[in-house]
Amino acid sequence: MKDVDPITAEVIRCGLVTIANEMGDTMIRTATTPTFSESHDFSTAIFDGQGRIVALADALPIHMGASKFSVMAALKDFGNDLHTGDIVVVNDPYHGGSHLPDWTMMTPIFFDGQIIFFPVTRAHQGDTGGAVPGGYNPAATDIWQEGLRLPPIKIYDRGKPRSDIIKMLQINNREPTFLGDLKAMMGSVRVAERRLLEMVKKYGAQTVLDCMDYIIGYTERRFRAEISEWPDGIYKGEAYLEHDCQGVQDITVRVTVTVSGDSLKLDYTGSDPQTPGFINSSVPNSYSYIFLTLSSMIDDSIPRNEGLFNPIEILLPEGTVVNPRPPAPCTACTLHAGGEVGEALAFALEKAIPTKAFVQNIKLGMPLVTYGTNPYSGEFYVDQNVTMAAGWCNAAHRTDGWGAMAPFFGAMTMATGELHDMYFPVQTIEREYIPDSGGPGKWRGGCGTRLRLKPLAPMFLHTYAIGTKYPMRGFNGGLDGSPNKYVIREGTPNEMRVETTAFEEPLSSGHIVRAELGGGGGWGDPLERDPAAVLEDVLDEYVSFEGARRDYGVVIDPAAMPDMKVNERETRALREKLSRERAAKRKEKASAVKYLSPQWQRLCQDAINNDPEFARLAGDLSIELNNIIENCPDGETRFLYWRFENGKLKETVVGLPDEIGERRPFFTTLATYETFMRINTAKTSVEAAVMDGLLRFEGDLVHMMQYADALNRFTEIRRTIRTEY
Amino acid sequence: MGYKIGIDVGGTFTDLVYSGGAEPIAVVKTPSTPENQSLGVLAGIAKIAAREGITVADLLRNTELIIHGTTVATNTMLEFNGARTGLITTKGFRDDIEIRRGYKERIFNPRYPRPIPIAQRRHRLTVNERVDREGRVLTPLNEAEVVTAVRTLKDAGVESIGVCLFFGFLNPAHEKNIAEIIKREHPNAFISLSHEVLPQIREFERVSTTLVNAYTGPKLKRYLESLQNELAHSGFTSDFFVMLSNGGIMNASYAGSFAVYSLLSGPAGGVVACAQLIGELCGEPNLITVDMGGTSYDVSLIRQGKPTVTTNYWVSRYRVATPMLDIHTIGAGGGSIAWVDTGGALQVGPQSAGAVPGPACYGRGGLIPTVTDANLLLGYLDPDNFLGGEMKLDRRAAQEAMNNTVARPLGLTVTEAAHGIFRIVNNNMANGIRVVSVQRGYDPRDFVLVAFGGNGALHAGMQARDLGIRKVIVPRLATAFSARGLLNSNIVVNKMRTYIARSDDYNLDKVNALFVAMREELRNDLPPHYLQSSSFTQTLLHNYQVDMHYKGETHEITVPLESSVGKVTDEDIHRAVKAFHAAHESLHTFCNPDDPVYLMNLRLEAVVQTPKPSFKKLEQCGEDAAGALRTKRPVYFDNAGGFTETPIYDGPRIQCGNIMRGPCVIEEPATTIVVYPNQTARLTEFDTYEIIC
Repeated sequence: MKDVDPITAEVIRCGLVTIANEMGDTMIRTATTPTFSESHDFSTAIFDGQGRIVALADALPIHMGASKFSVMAALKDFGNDLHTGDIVVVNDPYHGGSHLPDWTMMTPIFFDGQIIFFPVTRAHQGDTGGAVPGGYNPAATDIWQEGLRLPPIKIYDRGKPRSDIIKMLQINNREPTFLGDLKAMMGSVRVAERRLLEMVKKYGAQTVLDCMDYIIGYTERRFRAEISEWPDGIYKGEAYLEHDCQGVQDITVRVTVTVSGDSLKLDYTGSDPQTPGFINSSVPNSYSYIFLTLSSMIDDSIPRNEGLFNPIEILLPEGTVVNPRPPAPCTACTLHAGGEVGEALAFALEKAIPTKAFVQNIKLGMPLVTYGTNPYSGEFYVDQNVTMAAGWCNAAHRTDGWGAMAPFFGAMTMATGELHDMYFPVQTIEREYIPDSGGPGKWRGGCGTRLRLKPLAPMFLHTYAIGTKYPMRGFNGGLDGSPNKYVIREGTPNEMRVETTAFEEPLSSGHIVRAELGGGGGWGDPLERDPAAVLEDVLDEYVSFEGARRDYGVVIDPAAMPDMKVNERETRALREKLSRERAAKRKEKASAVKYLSPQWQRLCQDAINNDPEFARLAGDLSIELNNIIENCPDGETRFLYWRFENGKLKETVVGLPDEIGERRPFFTTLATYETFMRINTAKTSVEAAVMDGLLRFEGDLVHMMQYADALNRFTEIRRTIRTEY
Repeated sequence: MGYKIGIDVGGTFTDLVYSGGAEPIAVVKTPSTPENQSLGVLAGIAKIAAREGITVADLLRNTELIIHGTTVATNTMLEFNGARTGLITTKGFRDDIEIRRGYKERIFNPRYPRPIPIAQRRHRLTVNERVDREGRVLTPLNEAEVVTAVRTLKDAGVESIGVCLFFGFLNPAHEKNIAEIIKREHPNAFISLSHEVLPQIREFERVSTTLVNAYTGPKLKRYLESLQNELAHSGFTSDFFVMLSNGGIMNASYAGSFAVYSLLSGPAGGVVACAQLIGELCGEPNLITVDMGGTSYDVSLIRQGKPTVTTNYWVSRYRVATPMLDIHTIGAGGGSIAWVDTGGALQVGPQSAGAVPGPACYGRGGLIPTVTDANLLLGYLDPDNFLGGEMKLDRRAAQEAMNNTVARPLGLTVTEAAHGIFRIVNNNMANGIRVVSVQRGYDPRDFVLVAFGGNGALHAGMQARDLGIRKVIVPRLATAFSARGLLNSNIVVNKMRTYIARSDDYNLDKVNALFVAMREELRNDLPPHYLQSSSFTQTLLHNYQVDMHYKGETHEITVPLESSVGKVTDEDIHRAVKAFHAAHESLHTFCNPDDPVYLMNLRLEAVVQTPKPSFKKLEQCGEDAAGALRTKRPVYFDNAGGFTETPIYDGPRIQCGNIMRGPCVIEEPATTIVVYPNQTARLTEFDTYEIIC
């Protein structure tokens, strides 16, 4: 490296960050869509001529890794055909974007014929063409249904607007404010151009370039120093997403992290295959979540730049949810499955660096979008309902979850209820923390909120729900936050609980929508939380009197609010008891419930025989069934025999084919181990497996069909058993 | 004509500047008494009396106006020692203050703690009531619930109650009812009503501002009352005023009720001084003002003679949305400490060594080098002539601290380390100036830099060089400039109402009705005798303004709504819309003249002028400054090859018109002005140093 004066380097680093912030200010002041100006759903950064990120504004970090791919794509596609005054825009996730609504704009800045800077602004557009307004199309099964795809294209050529291209973009966009936002983005990269050239003039190009090398090296050095302190080893983590809006359930992201010396290897092999729905995380988006997550585990003062990328090797297997092949749809990925890419990584590192690992994820599929005719203006409107609310904020080591959401969303400001109610035909009637919703822990997860909205005109509601089955998980013995719960038309005969999706659900005036956003996960054993802190939480009603006892083992002597006191003797006794009970439960849970193992069979029997729904559907069903499971992991074929008697599962047997003995099952299902696994984990249905020729029957199918409801329930129950394959 | 006294309480010194005595303007300094600021103030008053050779009683009897800049409200927020505060709000909205529109300051730091609560959740209670977007009552106020809530808060020891209802600014009836009930049930409680503090849409901004007012109010009110009593007891019978954050003054009882309006009471005086004494008097309409003391660096911008005002302010992580001078503060002062981070980079501030232990060179046990230590080692400060010789600086202690903490760990010499600190803090300050200028769309090269406070003038030449600023002005009164500004301040009261309408579809009667209501309110705030007293110029000016934005934008621009006939007309609105397009163009590089514009808030500003102390220009005495040359010493200048034998001038001996060519150092009693190589200083007829860069 050149001989760089570290003080000049620090001066230049601060200058670059100031310029990136100025780009952001330009966006806030001038954008015309509330997602930019009010919510700040955009980011600004400065890259160098090699596509290395050198400075990042404090904006939306889920863009931070992804923008790099945009710069690289522009450099690759245009090569020598980039000139002063060009402005390039890109959005396609397979050509340098992350998902279609995020448009990235950049301009090359030359000195002596070389590109030395690429200021970049990435912003979430109000609309991006495609089948539905706003860009989120849960019905999409390929990317063309999601919107207009842009590889890197020039909208300014050597300082001149390409009005034909701009017009084409405009007519493909529903948002009337589209041009205003485009101008704001162009304004922000222009501002950077002016400032960066002033900097080059002042310090000289070579000094600036040398300083950028120095700054990146500095970050890399500090990051490596942190990794060196992490214990070497191989750590595995997983994260789950309920569904993809197209019927695929329990989508799993898996990562294996190897910490070795001062570098990391992240291998996402084992993650689920890409799905037909729009949750597939494009490579740039997966990178963003990886860097966002790692950035949250290291010293806050390390400058965020390219130096963070250097110590890490990343493997994202093609054809999976973390690296889909085109034309898989991707729009939802900036929340999910992107969030799961980060979450799996955080849970892998929980074992290595328990006090630092942290999940930056929010359990939001998409907001409760409503639309209709606005009686105040007579015009069609779409209400994204991004008003302020809290949820899913995990506790961290020594820090209770607080405020609204995970810190990475902290630069996005949510709209206020008053302005929202002023513009849209709706009344915000409640928005408060829900007691006991924060995951209990030595440090408590942040509370979720109950949000109730009352429509004042007929409208339609559009949403997809997640976080209903997989809430924010606790860390290091902390418990999970509460799950999400969405109810529409509350208290009417047509009340509906949104389990997965609600599309074009009609709401009449007065039909209340209730959203209970889940709480954050706790950190550490709740039985170790300082009882005085629990008392404070009870006084503030973050935790109920009952919750203190149930979750924290803290007994509070009943009294008027300010006079409440912890009963220390009873607390000690209760905590000991709970501690024993929980240890026993953990042991039971931890015992590997291997598929087909005796424990697994027992769990199946318990679950089925205790399920009132199955009892109702099965009546006095008495039948003997058999599964022939081919190509088990050891290469063998096994049978799995079930005997029902008077609606109860009386016997299960697993064995090699010749061990079936005298048993004469009435009906036999044949498939591979893999197919049974996919059915049991809801990756496919029995019907689909039959259609695909993966599942065959032997026996009287017509007779069997009369038990179809009971047997479907049987399949559902099996899916609830945590099974290792 | 009687005395007029401006009192500015700073972290270290309480400055008093007064007119009406033997000299046209005189300055007195006493040590501040942070535990009870009034002790320092009274000591200062006694010092004035002594200086004038009269008794305190005589002085106060003959004083017609006292204007006070106080940091009580700010310190209450910085130290979190305000009143135990409660909130009564609409059912369903208990947690707005914690949800804070999702804002978090550190997006990569999950271990960053929550803000210290100023109103704990247990003290935030809700009641059934609701008005709609037109201000019509949907659910009447449940008064029984209010009574229960107030009693609960009283029993919990709550001394101050904020009231903020959803859409409460549209129809304040329920907030007023609640206030009546509080007065009945808890007569000693301080009451802060959102429709009075900030009658403006956006419930988060309103509740936060209302609660900051409730939290700081009791303390400021008590302080002002006790100080006023002390002064009255000693013979003061006239008006006692407080500097507010908007750069105007108001009487002590108003200031005590609206403590949140005085969060910038301390630094505001300096900005007023710059606007009037540099801007108007010297004819320099475009100024960047920097006030550098021991711990902080306050920057603001004055454009066309007017200080810029912002409503986008946070104090100690709480949002305050009242109009305030746009003063940007960074942690850079003489006491800012230097440290080496884990990656081996040198950092300066924002932590300060404060007055105790203070910089290492103070010899009070400080072991960490500060900006002042660096300045001493570089020769800018004279160890034997610090604070006019009142204090000796310990060069060896500075050297040792510099060596141990910075030089050795980084492998630098002590001088290189000191110069590194000097450069980093200069750069931090230049970036601070960029925030109020380039980031707000202004080019700093179009401005004159005014430097004051104890340390501002030592560094200003470097910021000028860094930012391409051509001229620096240093008032000779630099260290007491904020107090000086108090003497020149006017009464300013701001009123506002939210009114949302399109510029092509508004109700003129409604607009005028709202302005009438605001004028009514003003009449209550401004007792008639102010307009008749000789302390004021007896004319009340009304400035009408409107906040506007384009459809979709959520950041408004405030433009004048000039009315020639005392009533807003269609033409006035039309002119305001035009002004908005132009302002948008100049601030944001574009405007959309064909797009509809939305009116958001109507504002009324009332101004009552005070007579200003007269100023007599100095007489020109020629260029030669040799008479003031005291000595020479080695001073470090990087672009002059390091330590250079440099002339040192004795400030008080410099005469009007004298020219001092850089590199040189001018030592005024409590401030040091460094003139860098290729810069030239001259003492002007306005008693200011003008440095051409």
